Amino acid sequence: MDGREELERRLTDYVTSLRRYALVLTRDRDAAEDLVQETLTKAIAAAESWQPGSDMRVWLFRIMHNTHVSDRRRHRVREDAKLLLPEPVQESDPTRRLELQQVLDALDQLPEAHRLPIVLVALKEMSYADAARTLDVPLGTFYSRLGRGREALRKIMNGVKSTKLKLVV
Amino acid sequence: MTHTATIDVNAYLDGELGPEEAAEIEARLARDSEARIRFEALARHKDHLGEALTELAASGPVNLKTARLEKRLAAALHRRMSPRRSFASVAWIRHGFQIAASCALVAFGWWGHANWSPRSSAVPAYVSEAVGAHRVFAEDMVQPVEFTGAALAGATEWFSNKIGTEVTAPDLSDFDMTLVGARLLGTREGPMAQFIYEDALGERYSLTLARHPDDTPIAPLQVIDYPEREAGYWNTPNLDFTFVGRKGGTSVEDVAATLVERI
Repeated sequence: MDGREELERRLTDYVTSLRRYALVLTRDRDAAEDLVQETLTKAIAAAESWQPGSDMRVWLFRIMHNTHVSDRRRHRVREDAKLLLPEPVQESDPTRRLELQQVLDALDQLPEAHRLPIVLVALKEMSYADAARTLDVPLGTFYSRLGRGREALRKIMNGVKSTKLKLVV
Repeated sequence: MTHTATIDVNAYLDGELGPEEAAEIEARLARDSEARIRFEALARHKDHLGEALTELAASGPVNLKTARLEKRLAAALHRRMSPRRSFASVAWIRHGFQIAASCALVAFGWWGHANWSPRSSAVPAYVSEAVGAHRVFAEDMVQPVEFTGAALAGATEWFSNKIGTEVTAPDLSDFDMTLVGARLLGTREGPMAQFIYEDALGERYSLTLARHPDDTPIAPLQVIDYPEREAGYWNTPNLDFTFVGRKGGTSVEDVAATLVERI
């Protein structure tokens, strides 16, 4: 595989991750795809400013995040919508799907400042330092928001669990 | 659980702690069942969320416009990564002598003669980070380093995990240099391992290792002059190396050339 092919392969992986992040930001598939495309368009325009050797993935996530923040009005953020798992292509465990949807629902209830650190770390691609740079916040702020967000998520999920138990009883 | 303790547990969950801090958390979780239940819930939610996020964008038709933009970006970045024209023929013409004021290549003898290749006009960022860290940490004789003595063995394993490829501290006893400590640096270029050596006269040297980005070409050893210091830097397919020392001591070029041969 030559350098160009390898770069294209990595870029495809990054765009998949960007699409996931865009879905969390916009909660809408069409709006998310628009945001991905705008991110790529801006990246093409800024390609000369990208430093070879620096982390391309963090660079792209920063462009997406800044585009979302600065252009929030134009991008449709469906406050009333929620993140929904797509219909499974093949048969899957319904209990597992329910658990995954519950955690997405709980995530939806968090304020964006707490939601985004959790998502960036859950994408399993970023260190805390990378994620803090993406969100343009100091590392200490990132630590704090991640901790508070996860604790809030845990409490919401505990509530879901106890409601289910009551229903069963 | 306090807010600070919650942050520590999160950092442990995400592999952001050093071995000693991680051991403290493990000990706390072993003796505190309530904390352990909370930790298990955090870990479960993280896994579920990762899986849910993967499924969110796992299906759906390929958007042709996105695919086209992706190809155009790959082309633009590939052009950016391609080696620039030679330092002598283009950079000097373009920038005149301004570059020479900021950094000057020095002759590097038989090895350099045999291995020299044109370089781009800018010093790689990992070299600047390594020289900066050398000035802050390696030359500080008062503040203890992050890892010393027996802790160094565990540290290299942790460094390797953080950097994503195996790193070790080479033996420089041929040059009368002793490894006195190490630390992990968080830099804009990613994590870097800094190994600090001291020679018989008490002069400090540092070898800094960073993961070599997949998309960057391999470069042979180059030596660069900084005020009062010099740095030798080179790459292997896995790692970027920078060896820094004060001018007038053991030759940085000699040590770096030896390391290139050994590694």
